[in-house]
Amino acid sequence: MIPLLEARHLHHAYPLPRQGLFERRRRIEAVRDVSFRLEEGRTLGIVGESGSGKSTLARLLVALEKPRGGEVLFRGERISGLPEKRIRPVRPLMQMIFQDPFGSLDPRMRIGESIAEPLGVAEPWLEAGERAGRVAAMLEKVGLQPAMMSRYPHQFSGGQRQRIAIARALITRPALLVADEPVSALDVSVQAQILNLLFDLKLEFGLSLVVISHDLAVVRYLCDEVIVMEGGRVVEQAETGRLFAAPQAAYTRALMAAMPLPPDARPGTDPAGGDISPG
Amino acid sequence: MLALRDLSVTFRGYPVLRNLSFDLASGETLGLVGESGSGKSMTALALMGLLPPGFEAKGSIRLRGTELLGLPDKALCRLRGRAMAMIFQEPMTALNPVLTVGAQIAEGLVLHGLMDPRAAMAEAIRLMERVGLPDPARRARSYPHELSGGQRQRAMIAMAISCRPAVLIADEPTSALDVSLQVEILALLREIRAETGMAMIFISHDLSVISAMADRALVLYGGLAMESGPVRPVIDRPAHPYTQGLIAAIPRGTAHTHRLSPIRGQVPDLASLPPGCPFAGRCTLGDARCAGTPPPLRSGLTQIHCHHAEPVPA
Repeated sequence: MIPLLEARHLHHAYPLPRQGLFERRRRIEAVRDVSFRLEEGRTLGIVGESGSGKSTLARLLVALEKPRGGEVLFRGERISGLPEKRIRPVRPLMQMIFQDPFGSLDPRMRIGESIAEPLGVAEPWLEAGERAGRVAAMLEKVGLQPAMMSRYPHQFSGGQRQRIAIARALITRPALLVADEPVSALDVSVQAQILNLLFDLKLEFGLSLVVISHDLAVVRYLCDEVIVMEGGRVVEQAETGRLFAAPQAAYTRALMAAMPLPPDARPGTDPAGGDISPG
Repeated sequence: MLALRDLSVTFRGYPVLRNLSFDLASGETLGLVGESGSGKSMTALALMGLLPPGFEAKGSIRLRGTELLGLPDKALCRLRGRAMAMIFQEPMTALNPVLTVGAQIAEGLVLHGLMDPRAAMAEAIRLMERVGLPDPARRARSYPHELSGGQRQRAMIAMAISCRPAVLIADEPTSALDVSLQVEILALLREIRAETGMAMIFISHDLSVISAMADRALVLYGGLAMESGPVRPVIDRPAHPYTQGLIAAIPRGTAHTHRLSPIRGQVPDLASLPPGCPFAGRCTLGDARCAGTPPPLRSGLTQIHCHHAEPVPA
């Protein structure tokens, strides 16, 4: 079967500021030789500390940046390194949400307009009434009232704004959703609401998810398989159950030892009945 | 050593903190737990006498018998740094960008008249070595922007402990750091606490950090202490519906087998809190009495403010 998303030997580097007039411009290798396959309906977690290259990898996956080496395939077709015109038809199928929903929503746009905006590109033939109907239905799906459509982002709390960002991302019925630290900025009590919502919508829409997080508990909760990154490289890649039961790389073990969870919720001693066995 | 009695803070008539009381002994650590807007940072600022304009504090804060509330600025200045010091979540905004790190650490020692500038600089270098900054003599001449996030946090700890404060207030000191750094900084704070015997108020939204650092925990919501007591019972056998909800909301297991139990609703803003229990609108036990009447304090293994929940028998 052709995977939904495939990365083949991805490389990316950012130039560093020139040290002197005649110095060679040096680069920082943000992503080094990353390869994986993501099947339809599966969830992949990308874990690592700041500077490990996980956000750069995410941007490469949805073609927001062109890799310096390697390629990204979406349903078997190469999408990396193409001119924007040729990527555009695929864009509605790959959406992204970010850590700070306040930064990703236009503060001067009513949230109904923000949510409808991607539809104008994906399905420009829709009439105004149909568009409004789609927005209302989507708002209900993310747990907000359709009447909230005419409000502005500042009138919502952090959790509600993340719901709005999710609505905007899913309105074009994408096959892939890349979520970069989707709950890191939220309070604990609200975090769980958004995690439940993401999982429900993933099942309902048959989505494939890529979840980037520094929080291993979040990744273990949502993801079927996990990539652990350090310094731009993949140091470990495994099914979630296996990774948590028997982490191989020293770096993964260090991350797990530092995992901020109350002792009763540590892997292996989960009294809440959470599944920790592989598969 | 430190005693808070009925500390209330209001902003334009809205309650930010309601009747907060606790005691803190030397060498003891109190963990303040809460979500955004719970009042935990306001508690720290009130203790330091650093409430922003427009905020009013009532009640009593006594440090070694001295009443701090209403103390003139000058007297507070003498206490800040010496009696009480604070470290913040984001060291880049707390450190002065145009002063070298060494000068900032030495500044307090000179200001409080403990040392002359030369001795203070030598002490600053010693402190920098103590908090694990590499090559301290050279690092002392660095500016904050030349340090990494973890190094800046170490520098701020060195600054806070320079005058050997009796109470150290740490407001989310590791929340902006990667997990591996977080572990190192927490270990450093524990070592320094053991060496100096200072008392600590440790503020965090993260219960696991609180359980690793604190002897006692106090859970704040909407400016009211929901539950307080020895840290283990508060986390392992919480009696208050809010504490129970917070712990149940922590992700565990996998989504295929285990549905998370979030607390319903959103964290309310202070202006829309009911006069009774601030948690009333989101609580599974909440009713009209909860919203209208402040909940009574009830004691057991832990102390709770609640109309309905029974404290766990001591």
